[in-house]
This record gives sequence, structure tokens and C-alpha cells, in this order.
Amino acid sequence: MLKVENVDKSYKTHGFLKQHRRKILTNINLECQRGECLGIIGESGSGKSTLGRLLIGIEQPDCGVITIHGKQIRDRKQRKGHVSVVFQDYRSSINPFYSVEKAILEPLRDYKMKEISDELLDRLLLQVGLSPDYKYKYPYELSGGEAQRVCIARAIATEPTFILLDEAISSLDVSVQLQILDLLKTLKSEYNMGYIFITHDLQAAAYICDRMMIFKDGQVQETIATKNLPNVQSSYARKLLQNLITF
Amino acid sequence: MKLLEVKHLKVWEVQTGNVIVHDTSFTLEQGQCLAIVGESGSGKSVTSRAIMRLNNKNLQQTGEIFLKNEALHLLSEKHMQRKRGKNLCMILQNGMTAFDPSCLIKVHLYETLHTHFGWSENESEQALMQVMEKVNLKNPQEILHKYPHQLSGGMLQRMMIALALALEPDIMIADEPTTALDTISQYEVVQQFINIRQQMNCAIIFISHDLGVVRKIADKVLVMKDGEVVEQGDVQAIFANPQHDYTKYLIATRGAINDHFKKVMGENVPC
Amino acid sequence: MNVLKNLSQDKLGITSLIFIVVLTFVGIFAPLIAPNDPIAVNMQLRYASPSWEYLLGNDHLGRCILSRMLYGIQPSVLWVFVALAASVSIGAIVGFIAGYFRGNVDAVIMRICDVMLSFPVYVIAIAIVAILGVGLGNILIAFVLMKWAWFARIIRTSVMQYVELDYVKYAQAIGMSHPSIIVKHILPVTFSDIAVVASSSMGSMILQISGLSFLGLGIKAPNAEWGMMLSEAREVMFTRPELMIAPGVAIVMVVLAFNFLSDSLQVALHPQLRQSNQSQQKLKWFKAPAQHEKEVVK
Repeated sequence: MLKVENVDKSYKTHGFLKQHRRKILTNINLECQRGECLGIIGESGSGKSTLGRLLIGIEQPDCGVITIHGKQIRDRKQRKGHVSVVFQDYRSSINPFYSVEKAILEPLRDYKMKEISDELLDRLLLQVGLSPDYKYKYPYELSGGEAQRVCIARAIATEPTFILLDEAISSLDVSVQLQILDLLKTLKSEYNMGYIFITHDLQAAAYICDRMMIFKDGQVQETIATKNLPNVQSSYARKLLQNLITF
Repeated sequence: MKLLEVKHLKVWEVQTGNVIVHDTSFTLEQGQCLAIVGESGSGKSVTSRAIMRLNNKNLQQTGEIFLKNEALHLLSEKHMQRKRGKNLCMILQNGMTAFDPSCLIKVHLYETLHTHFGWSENESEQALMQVMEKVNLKNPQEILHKYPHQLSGGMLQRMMIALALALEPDIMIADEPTTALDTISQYEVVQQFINIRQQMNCAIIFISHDLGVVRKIADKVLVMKDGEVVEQGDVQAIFANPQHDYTKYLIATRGAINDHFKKVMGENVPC
Repeated sequence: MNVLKNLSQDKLGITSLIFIVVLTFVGIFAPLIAPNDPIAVNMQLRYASPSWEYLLGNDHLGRCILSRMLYGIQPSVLWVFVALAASVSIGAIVGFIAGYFRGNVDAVIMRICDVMLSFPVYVIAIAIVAILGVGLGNILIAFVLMKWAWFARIIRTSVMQYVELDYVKYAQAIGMSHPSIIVKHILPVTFSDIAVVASSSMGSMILQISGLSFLGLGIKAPNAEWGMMLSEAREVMFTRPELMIAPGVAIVMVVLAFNFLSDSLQVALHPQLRQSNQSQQKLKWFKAPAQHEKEVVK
């Protein structure tokens, strides 16, 4: 469904006189099916967020192609209704001028012009575990977990084929993380969506992902099914596992 | 001997009258590590800042704070400023914002050491070389001559710990020092804290929401919820046998992700 | 009309709005309202004090000051406002394009702006007047041509800090068109910046226009204009200071009204500020405070 082939990405860094290009991503290949959750694990600065921006088509790779259903993801019309995203920073994820209602209905309004029933909104809110009264609230009145739930409701509103979760739980408390992870799991089976779960937290990734891509310095170190996690081969992945602080 | 004693600490907002920390009391002994855990908004950072008397102007506090039987709450701002850094030292969550981005790392460090000990650049450099080795930072010379953005979050965090060590404080207060870090640097930083505890006789107040890290480092734990201490005591005892529902809830949620991970990993859990 | 409703709760804001609206109407219908002919010279009434017939007294040529003030609204406030609106709109469009799309478009636009900004406004205004001929319209055209670059630069900077926000990225990800993202997501947050810049340059523009009128390039002599009235009164500043009061106070009031209005518009448009007017909490949600924690470490 979502397919990434031989993608490279570099950025210009401005020197005083000369310009350099810094390579962020090198030769990335991946594929994500409907109903699958693919984890992208890497430390900060490994280029995983850049990959995220490429996957949702808001930036263009230097070379290589990213397609969804065989069509270019860079084409904005192909993305409509099929692609969605939840970001890490719940503070800036919702337009501060929008009420929850307006925020959740935004993708729907943009996607199809037909009237949207109130029931749909209430159903979406209930689905993410918020009471329908929340629709009149503004983002600043929400706690981190609530804001992230609203973002998820907004993401599932158009029933997309895939959602990018860019560190979606990293800035939440552990107890809230668990609730969100459980919510995401339920929704995935309900809507049969594909997730790409970008995180640095291996344990959370293991909780939700079916497959994981270990990422370092813009290169894929290893792709492995979660159940085979103990048998990782690459040295970086091994180090990652060894350095994990478990409870 | 009690190193730090906090009695009936209360912090509230001036404008609204909202109480952020209710009647909190705890003690810290020489060489001990006390962890304060709780969710965001539970008042754990405010508590730690209240000890340093570093809260915003719109937060007022009452209660008694004794450091080696000296009443900190009665000190003037000028005397308090001298206590900070030398006796009480703080390590912050985000290394990137803790250092001035416009100057070299060393500028800030030398300045700090100069204010507290009146050391010259040479003396400061000597001292820093030693402590930086302790926190496992290689090539100290090179690191000192870099800008904050050229170092990783983990390195900056260790740099801050190094600075704290150079100051040889009585108490080191670490406010979520590992939260902003990725797995490997988190591990390294935690390792440094454990080393410090073994090598030096320095008490630590460790604030975190990550129970996994807390369990590795702390002796005592203080569980906070909505500004109130719901439970405190020995780490192992509390984690093994939590009394309060909230503590149970925190442990259960942390456990759920972890148990799943352990199941995936089978026998190979490195711990 | 949520904004209007919110605005009506702010006394200062609504007063400013009413003041500006009334002023506009008075300016448009000045010929109907004004008690006297503003250019009728009556040397017997030179420097006369206020009387029932001439409520604000008479100037050095015995003309009715009140009537001149009323007639002066049109060139001093209304036309300046139109010129301002035009240059802000051009600046906004260009600034949004440059700040939103970045890259080469941005580079080209900004270099053009730099070129525009490197010319002194007065010199260019005089040059344009020399080409097109004397008259208020030509001065205004000169101002629009010169000022947009300045607005474009400021608006671009303001846009750039909001484009990186996650909700903008979200809107891009779901395939919204760029114009609607700009209108729905970036315009509201940058509006306050634009309003502040625009209202503060309203005052300076009124004064600059009057400066050019003083040079004889704008309004032609007998016609009324506030700035010109000020400069006429300047000659007798020490003997008859009261002549400066009417145009001086009027300019100050107009500038203040625009400033207050832009302040209250900010609050009215912003859902969070609407709730709590505590200045402490202002915009905390938007701009996560760049905490300077260096002091704390010490």
C-alpha cells in the first residue's frame, strides 16, 4: 500500500561562502500494508522525523519514489482522505483558534463537501474516549492526553489508509501512553489502517508494532518482526536492547 | 544525620490562589537518593524548585526547609544565591536550553566556577578535566571548545552533571534529566548517576516520571499526585507492595508495556 | 459575528471602533455637515477665538477651523487608510508567498524588497510626483509603491515562525490546498502582528503625508489637510499655540484609536486571551516559552 523505494534526502547547510549538502537519509526502502504497524526506531538526529515528513508528502525526496496505492504521495490530491498524521507536540498540533469540533471536522470538510452529521463527531469523540461535550472546548483547555486524543480523532475522521505517528506518545506520561497505545490498537483493527510509528522508545514500539525498522544515521540498520526482536543481528540494535532500562 | 529536611511545604499561585503543592514534608539523608515520581502537573518540579527557591514570582511558598540544620527559607535572596550551585545544584531536563547557545560551553562553565570559587581559567580547566573523565566524556579539551548545538543531548546532560560534580554540592537536584534523551544516552546518563552515588557522598533528588529509571537509581521514593504526597518510602518496598491506589496504577501502567516487552524478548531481557 | 460580540465586551476597543466609524462617515459627508466653507477667506476674523458660528475659531486667513478639520478627514485619514490597506495587502500577499513557500521564490522576493528598501521614501515620493505631477493621489501611489516591501519583510518573518507548527504540517499532510492553509491557519495567527504593524504605521503615514503636503507636493494650498494645518499653525506656534491643538489632538486621537482597536482585535480574535485577560498567561499556548535556564544552573 505505502511503498518507499530508494529514497535519499539531503539538506543544504549554509556556510559563509560555500554550501554543503548534509545527507540525512540514504537509500531507504520500506513497505507498509493495511492493518500493519511498522515501527521506525532511532535516536534523535537519526533522520526518522525527516523520513516522516517525506512519508506524508510535505517534503520531496532528492531521489527515489514514495507511492501510496501506486500513486505519488507528493501529489496532494492522492493524499486526500488517505493519509493522516499525529505529531509529538500536542501543544502546536491543533490550531489555537479552532474549537475541538472545528479541528476534528477540518479534514472531513476538506475531503468531501457534503454535510457532516453531528452524530459522526460525537461518535469520533466517544471512540477516542472523550465525552461529546469536548467539542466546544479550545485546545488550551485540554491536557496533553486529551489533546492527543483529539488529534487521533481528527486523524481517523476520514478513515485513512495510513496514519503516521511521529513520536505521538513521547511527550505524554507513561500511564497516559498506555491508554493511547491501547486506543491506537483498537482503532487499527476497527478501521484496518496502516500505522507508521516513529519513536525512540523501543518498549512502546514493541507494544504496538508488528515490524520494526532500526534506524541510525539515516540508514536502515535492520528490519525485523517484533516477535523476532531477541534475534537482532546488527550491532547497533543489540546495543539498543542492552541499554534499555526496563522496569 | 539529616541533610535536608522539608516541613509542611506549600506552594500556591498568587493571582488565582490555586494551591500547587499541598503540605509536603520529607527528609533526605547524607548520600541518599530520593526520587519524586508523578505525572505531569503533579507538582514534582515545583517542589524541587521550591527547595532552591527558584519558582516564578507568581508562585508563593510557605513551610520550612533546613539544609544541615540551616533554615533556607529564612535566608535573604543574596545568601540564597550563594547556596545555589555550591550547596544545592540543579540539573535540568533539556541540555539544549540550559546552555547559552551563543557562546562556547567553557564560557558558561568557567563563569559558574569563577562565581562560586573565584577560580582562574586554568584552575577551572583542571577541575573540569577531572570531573569530565568521571562522567565518561572523552576529549574534554575538545568538548569545552564546542558550541552547545554541536553536542548531543546526552553529552550536554553529562556536561551538566560534570559541572555539578565540580561544584561538589551537598545535594544535586535532577529534574527529569533523562526524559528528553533517547535510549542509549539515557542509559549512559543513568549509569553516570549510579557511578556518582558510588564514588561520591552526594545526595540526589531525582525527579522523573519513568519508574524504570527511578527503580535503578533511587533508595527512597515520593509519589506525588495533584500536589499531594500520596505515598513515600523505600523504593523496593513501594514497588513491590504499593499501598495507595495511585501508586498501584502508575506501576501497573508502566508494567503493562514492560511485561509485553519482556514477553516479546523471552528470556533475553537485559536488565 | 463572534468577533464583534467579543469586541463589544472590551470598552476601549468598541469605543475606538465607533470613533473610527463615525470619523469615516463625517469625513465622507463633510460637505453636508461642515458649518462653513473651509476655503472661504475672511481677513476680519484672523485668529478669532471660538464663537457660536465658528466653534473652533479661525486660522490666520480667518477660515473656519472646524470646517477645515472635517474636510481634512478625507485626505488625512481616509485616503491614508486606503493607501495603507493597499500597501499592507500587497505586502501581506508577497510576504505570505515568500514565508510560506520559501526556497527560490523567497530569495527572489526578498532581494526585490531589499532593492525597494534601499531607496529613501521621500526621495522616491518626490521623484514619482515629478513624473506624475503634483497631487495627493500621486503621493499615495508613491507611498504604496515604497511601503509594501517593508510590510512584506515583516509579514514574511511572522509567517515563517508559524509555518513550522504542527497543525500547519497536518493540514499539508491531509492534502489541503496551499491557499486554504494560508487563509485558515496562518492568517489568523499572523493577523495580530499585521494589525500592530499596520496601525503603528498609520500614524507615521499621516505625518509623512502632511510633511509632503507641507512641501507643496500633496494637497494644493487652499484645500484642508490636517498635516498642512499643523504646519500652517507652526508659524505662529509661540503667539497662537491654540491653533495647533485641533489638528494635533485629532491626529493623536486617530492614531490612538487605531492602536487600541488593533489591540482589542487581537484579544477578540484569540480564544485564549478572550478567556483570561491576565497578561501573564498571554500566548503561553502558542509560543512555548524559550526558557533561558542558564541562570538556574548557576
